Amino acid sequence: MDLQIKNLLKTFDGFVALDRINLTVEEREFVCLLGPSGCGKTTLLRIVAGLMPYDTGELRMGGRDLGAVPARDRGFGIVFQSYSLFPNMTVAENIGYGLKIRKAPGDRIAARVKELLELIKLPQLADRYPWQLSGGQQQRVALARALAVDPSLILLDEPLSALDARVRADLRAEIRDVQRRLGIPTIMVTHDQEEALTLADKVVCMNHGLIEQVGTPQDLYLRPRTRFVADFMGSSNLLPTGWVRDAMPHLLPGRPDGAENAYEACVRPERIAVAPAADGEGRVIDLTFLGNIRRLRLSWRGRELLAETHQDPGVGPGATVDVSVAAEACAWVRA
Amino acid sequence: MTMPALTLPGKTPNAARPRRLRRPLDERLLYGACVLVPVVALVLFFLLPLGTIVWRSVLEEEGGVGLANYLALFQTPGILRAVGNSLLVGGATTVVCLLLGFMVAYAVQRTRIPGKRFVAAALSLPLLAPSLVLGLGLIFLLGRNGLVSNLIGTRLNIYGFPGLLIANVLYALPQAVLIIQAALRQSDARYYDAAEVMGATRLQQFFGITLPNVRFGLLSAGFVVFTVTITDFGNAVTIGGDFSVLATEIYNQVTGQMRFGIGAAVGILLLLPTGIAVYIERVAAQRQFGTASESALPPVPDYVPVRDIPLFLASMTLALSIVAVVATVVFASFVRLWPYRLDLTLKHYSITLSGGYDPLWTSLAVSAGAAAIGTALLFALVLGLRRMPPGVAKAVYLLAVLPVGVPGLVLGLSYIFAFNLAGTPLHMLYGTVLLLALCNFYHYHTQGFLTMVTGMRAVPPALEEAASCLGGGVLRVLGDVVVPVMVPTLLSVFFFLFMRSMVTLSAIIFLVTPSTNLAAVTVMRLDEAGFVSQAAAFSTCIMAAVAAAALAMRGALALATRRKAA
Repeated sequence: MDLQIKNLLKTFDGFVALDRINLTVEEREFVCLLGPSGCGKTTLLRIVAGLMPYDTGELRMGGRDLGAVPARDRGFGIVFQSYSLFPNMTVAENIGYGLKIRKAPGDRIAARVKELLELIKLPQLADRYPWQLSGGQQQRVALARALAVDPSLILLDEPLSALDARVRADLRAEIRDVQRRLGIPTIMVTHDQEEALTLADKVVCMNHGLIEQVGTPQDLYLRPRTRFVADFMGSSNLLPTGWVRDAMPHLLPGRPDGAENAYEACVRPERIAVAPAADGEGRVIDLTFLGNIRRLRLSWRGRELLAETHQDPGVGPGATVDVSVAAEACAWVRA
Repeated sequence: MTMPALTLPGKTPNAARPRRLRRPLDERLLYGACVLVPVVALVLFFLLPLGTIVWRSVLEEEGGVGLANYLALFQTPGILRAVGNSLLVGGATTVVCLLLGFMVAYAVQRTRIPGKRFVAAALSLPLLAPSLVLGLGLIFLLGRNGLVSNLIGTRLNIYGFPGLLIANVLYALPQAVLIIQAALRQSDARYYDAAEVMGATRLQQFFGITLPNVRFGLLSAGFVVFTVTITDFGNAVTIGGDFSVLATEIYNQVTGQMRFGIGAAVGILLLLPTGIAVYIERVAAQRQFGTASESALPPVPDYVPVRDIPLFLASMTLALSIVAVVATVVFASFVRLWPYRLDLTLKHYSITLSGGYDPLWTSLAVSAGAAAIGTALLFALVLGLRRMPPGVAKAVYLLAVLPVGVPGLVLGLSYIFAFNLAGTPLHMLYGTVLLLALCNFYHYHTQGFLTMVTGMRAVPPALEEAASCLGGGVLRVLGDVVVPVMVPTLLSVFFFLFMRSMVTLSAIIFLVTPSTNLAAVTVMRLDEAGFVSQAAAFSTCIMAAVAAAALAMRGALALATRRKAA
């Protein structure tokens, strides 16, 4: 089943939290709502869950209008950032809670719990209480609890933000694996662009209650349409039209029509090629070693540029270099 | 993921052990004394009496050690009946208090009823008055010559079990509500969001999540109510009538018939329920360590008419009843002849009992003494504890929280055994204002200590270190850094001890002498002698003093925080 959101408007005392949002989540699709805090992504998730009312618009699941359906009858699964396992229940009781509510027979619950514990690779923890588990384990259990009732949609509210970097990477892979395997449409809220890039089929980049851009991770990274998206999806060089006309005229053909200030060229640092040259126009200001990459600050034709390379560029601060950018390496974004 | 309350520093291998930084001598002396003095006082005025009562309970009348006193308990008919009655009224009070207490706590914490502040204020009233004021008020309202009897023309009999039950419930309810409310506060809105999305109805959420998660709170509230009830003295004397209970019976056995052994044995038995309560609280605290995450959002209740309207009506009824009972006492004290001649007069304020208002002044002196000594000792103790090695600190901490497990009645009894023995050096304290003040202080030691510990956590160590590095001596650092931050805490502890001392009856009832009579005891004597209106007048004076203290505390706290902000 697919989820359709049409012209969804949500205000808090006159403040527009979601400004007529349109979005579709296809069957089996993993959608990430990405944006800074306060952009409305969590509000949108809570509205889809049914935990918050909306002002106007339409919310449909497989054609059925969800407007009048309370959260408890929507049949979704949800996982929060703060684990929120019921502290009075064991792991097994937590996972089985949704089925118990649905008055499933005890042996069916037990079988389903066992199956899910295998799925999240924690079969030995069935009788523990939440406070006896690590953060990563708790979040796995929360995922199993959400999956137990065969939800028609899974909602993940920053599920990885509270975890250590290492655990986060592991669990990220696991969530992706489970979602692909079960094919349940999923919406995840995150403010971490790397998470969105690695997990999502479709990334929805939001800002100030508006959707800035929807697309595949590649789309958003390589072809951002607005300055906000370009900035939010990693670092970039944002170059004004006037300067590009003088310094890199070969980038101009791709520029949409519009006023001089309406568009800027976005060039990712790794797309700037740097080569040592005795008579180069560019000069290295400084060089930072970041392990897998090296980051250079360059001064070139009156601007400061950021470049990244995987190989040792063979230059040091103060060295002169040649700088080049391929025509297809540039995306024009609305300023 | 459990954490010890006091963290031990990691062990450094001997070879690599850094040379211990030696603090200046004056500093070590000061902090040493800070811990030593309060600990010696704790031993003398808490551990020693407690030890004495244990000793006396096994010391048989013919000399020799054995369980004869405990056996005698079961052979004294009066005691046996009193135990039965106490268990009955204690059990009934506990059940009613848990039901009502949960209802009120839930209404205040988890619903959208209006007037929450009024309910909270009304429920704090009984804490500002001696327990017997509630009994007194009930008699004015429902007694043989009460307002209601007079209105409906039949003489109600409130004395005995029903009156005692109501008075105990009104007295213990605020404490139950506070504990249950604290338990209800420990939650996360996400639990309910998750349950909602998983399909649970409100009722299923209530029974599946809300109730199980406050079970430790309910359990500990239950034990507190039970203990408070079976060791309370005031209500039993005022409204108990012929319904004899343990507290009054021990009082008779000890002060009337001088049967100290039996008194001691009962005292020891009374340690059991509080002991269990304290144990449960510790277990609950550990259990909750894991669940209280910093990112928890408090549940925001929405308005549910079928739930909120009945809860509003019930909470208001309860709050108004408490206000009515207390207000009746105040009103009756100004009335010529309750409830027949309602013209106003001040004649009940001229106290005919010998001593007049002396006990009130004694009470004020005792309370001020308890508050001053207590605040000073607790501050010193907490200050010194920060510099003690973890092992010592932990042991002292345990000792300092121990008094909460000893009901006032038992503490009062133990003081008799420890200080009313001629020939010991401590005997000279018996019958002095100082001993009464100390008894009250150690009665409420734990609460004051814990408040002080919490306050001390707010003192930034970095600030202290910065002041030291700038060349400030110990006293300098204390005066410039520690004390300013601690002012609100010191005020809170001072007024807490003062107000509790003004109203408590259960411990000091065993220690008062004709020359050191106390206000709460005088109310009891006036009531016993049949001067109920004078008892009401005297109670009103006590409540006025306590209310003035409460106001003074608010004013001082406001002043202190404003000065800090400026």
